[in-house]
Amino acid sequence: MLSIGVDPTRCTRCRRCEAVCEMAHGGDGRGLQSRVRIRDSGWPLISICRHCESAPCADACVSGAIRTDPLEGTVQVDAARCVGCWSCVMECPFAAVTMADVAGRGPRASKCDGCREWGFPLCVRYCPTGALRAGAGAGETSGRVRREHAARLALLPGRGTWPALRGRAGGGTPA
Amino acid sequence: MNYVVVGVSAAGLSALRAIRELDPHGDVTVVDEETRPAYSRVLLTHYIAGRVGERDLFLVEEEFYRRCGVRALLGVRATGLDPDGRQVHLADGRVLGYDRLLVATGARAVVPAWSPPGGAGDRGGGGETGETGVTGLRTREDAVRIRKAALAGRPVLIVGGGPVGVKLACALRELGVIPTLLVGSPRILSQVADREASLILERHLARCGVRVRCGVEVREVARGPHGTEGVVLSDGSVLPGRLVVVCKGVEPRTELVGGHVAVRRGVLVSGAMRTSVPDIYAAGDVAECPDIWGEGTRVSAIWPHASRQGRVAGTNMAGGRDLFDGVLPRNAMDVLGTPFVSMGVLDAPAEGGWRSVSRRRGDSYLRLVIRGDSVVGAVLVGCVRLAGPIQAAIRRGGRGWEEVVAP
Repeated sequence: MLSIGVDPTRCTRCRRCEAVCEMAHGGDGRGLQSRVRIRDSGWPLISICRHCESAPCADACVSGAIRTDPLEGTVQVDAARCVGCWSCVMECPFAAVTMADVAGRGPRASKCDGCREWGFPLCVRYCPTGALRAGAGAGETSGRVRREHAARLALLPGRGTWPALRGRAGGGTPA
Repeated sequence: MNYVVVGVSAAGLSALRAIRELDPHGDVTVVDEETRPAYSRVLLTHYIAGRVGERDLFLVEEEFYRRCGVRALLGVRATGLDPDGRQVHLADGRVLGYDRLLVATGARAVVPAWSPPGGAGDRGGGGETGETGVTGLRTREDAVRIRKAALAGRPVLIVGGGPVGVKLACALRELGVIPTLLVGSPRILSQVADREASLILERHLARCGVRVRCGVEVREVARGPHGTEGVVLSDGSVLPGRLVVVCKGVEPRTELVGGHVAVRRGVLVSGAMRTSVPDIYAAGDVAECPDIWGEGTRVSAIWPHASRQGRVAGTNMAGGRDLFDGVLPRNAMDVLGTPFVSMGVLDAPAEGGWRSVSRRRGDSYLRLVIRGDSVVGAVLVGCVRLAGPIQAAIRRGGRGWEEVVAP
């Protein structure tokens, strides 16, 4: 179960995470692709997907393109389903969803995929100060809660048609 | 427990899921006028533009209700309510008893007086919309009709400059059609954008080949021997077009419960989605809910509210506890490559401690509406990256916005 935790007080703005993400996901001539962005000041200082348990971007997605992977617990974008409506950008409190041009189709949602290909988020691996953390409990949620939700998801009818992991009691947008 | 859900779209569907999570064995009956399973109205303009196929519009598969263990009465309308006897009457004469009722009847397209009968969005009305050459954009059938007409090269007139009208204009332009957008207000998107944003987007639309006419009223549909030939404006001039799409907004469909529960514009509900009558709940476009500031009630016909409210209603109906944190009106859209987001309060009155902060670089525009020290609304055009953090700030009580928009 992946979640990414952020400790801005440890961030020295070395931007190694941006560079590593760019190396992992960019380089295909579409311009900068880094899914983590560091600002010099202001909030949020570190824009990166936390893979929220009750993800506002997935809740707001009108086309079912953004869903929580029930096994990994990560929030994933299926660019082929995305219609580029900007709803997810409007909802993400961490400014972690951006739009990237998909050849011939215009802008489509783009965000951290937890480095699926590598099995571990590289930005976290290369963060020298521990400002980025990953793994169960890195965020605010315990692995047990996530597992329960995943188990419940598997039983839910309609799985695969719409993000079924909806807001928890009192959930909605983290405030 | 015996649940009846009237209307299954965003709100009804998420209510259904919430009920089933908490009460796997209760009797659930859903009633909906549509004969096919729930589909996404938000996707209709994207379907017209060709970004999604017709099949992708559906939110659930055909067998969804059966797999949920839900009795689905599709293609039938709920016509009456007896709150004392706890019964819902259907158009075909059947009567459904309930322990908990959810009214998620949604909204209908506003039909202007000049629209011919059977035309725009009148689901209950007779007549074939295809014959009148006038349609709304609310149902799948409407969208199919519009796409067909556009692909056949028939000139399209869009009446109404709100979000739906503008999204449709963009969709048609993407198809290669040059649509004409007729707007009653002096500017497009007058309900969801401030003046500056409207003007930026209007100029952008015009540059992209959409004809925009603001401040015009339609008097009637011009008919000829071959059907609709355009519209007659209030100044007597005629604009040619073979299909007229009316996008004048929506109004809550309260007729099922009107007279039984408290209704203002929509069905009045608490944060728990309860109406004024015990065991009757309402959610989605039909509901009128407290806003996030607790200062008034609003109907907000937007998707995220509908699905969240449905979730809250379903949870409470099934014996759980959940609260909706209030309406925060908001919109996001792509206007032919230029993103636009607005949320919350858009006008800053001259008095009472209101002000607005704006900055503009080229066609990139940001405006925050501030009350006291708190941000209560925002408009973003071009660069909308900060929309999410700004929304979070509004929800946190409005403080800390200086940090969010720090350069």
